[in-house]
Amino acid sequence: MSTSSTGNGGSSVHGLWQYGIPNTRTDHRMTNVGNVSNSYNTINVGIDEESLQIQAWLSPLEPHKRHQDVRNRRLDGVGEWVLRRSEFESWRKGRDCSVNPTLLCYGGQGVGKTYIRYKSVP
Amino acid sequence: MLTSNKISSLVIDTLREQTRGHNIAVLALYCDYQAQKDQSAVNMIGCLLRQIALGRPRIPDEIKSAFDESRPGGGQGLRLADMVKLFVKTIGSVELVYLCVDAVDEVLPQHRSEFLRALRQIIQDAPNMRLFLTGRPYIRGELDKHLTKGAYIIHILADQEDITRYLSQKIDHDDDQDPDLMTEGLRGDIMKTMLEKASEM
Repeated sequence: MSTSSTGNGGSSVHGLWQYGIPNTRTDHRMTNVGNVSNSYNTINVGIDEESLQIQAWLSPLEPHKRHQDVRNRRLDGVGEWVLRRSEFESWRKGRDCSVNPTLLCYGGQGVGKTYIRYKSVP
Repeated sequence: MLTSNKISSLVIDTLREQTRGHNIAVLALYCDYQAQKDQSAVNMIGCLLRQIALGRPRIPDEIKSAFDESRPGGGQGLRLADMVKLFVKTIGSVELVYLCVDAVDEVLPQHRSEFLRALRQIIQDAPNMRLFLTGRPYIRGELDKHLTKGAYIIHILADQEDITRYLSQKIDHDDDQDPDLMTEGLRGDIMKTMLEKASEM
């Protein structure tokens, strides 16, 4: 099994997440056509229509939208210390069962609550 | 301010970058209190399957069969236990699966315990799974109970981003020093040390 999407043209249209990687080529094609929903329907015929049905059947959630939004607001270098922590490295590299498969980052009240608190002050 | 979702997006992007071209999947879930009604355990595990399907040249046979079997009943959704089984089966051919779940605390409590149990089941049944979670401190006990006992833990301070900005400004405007003395390496070392110290506070 490969992560590349050569061969089937329909696959690249659906491959918004090449294992999660947003497919920019798809976006270009859609943009060029102008009407996103129409181009989507036009490109996907036959088996692709079923593929759309199956996707909808699996889940209505679309986390790639949130991912794009968050990464656009992320400043360069921010949070990179997490990637350098030994806990992260051990977690990432661990391949055998002796390594705990889970890494939890906890903390922060987040910007949302702070914002709300400010706004609620008369 | 640094929020958990920025850490999550950074981890996701970094893992994708590092694993490109390999038979490794990097999956993402962003939990969001604004989308709570759709964030049931079964929809979230289904969403992971959807991401796996999108990464393949065509819909994997396991998923297609399950879909076909559901159709006589009007294309009914799978039950959670079946969705979990289908997910474990489908990722069997993937070398390693990184799953990043942001802001677990934003899932409704009634969905959350079900979701955490499903994740535990997946980890037990799929040795190729690596799970990355973020959440607020108050949820720690609940996570430990279901999932994170013995896990790797990193504590994130909410103002890390502010510290980074502040340090950058200080270094940039440090006019008293010879600019040549401040190399990229030294700058990086200062940032790293200060942030690590701050995160230990």
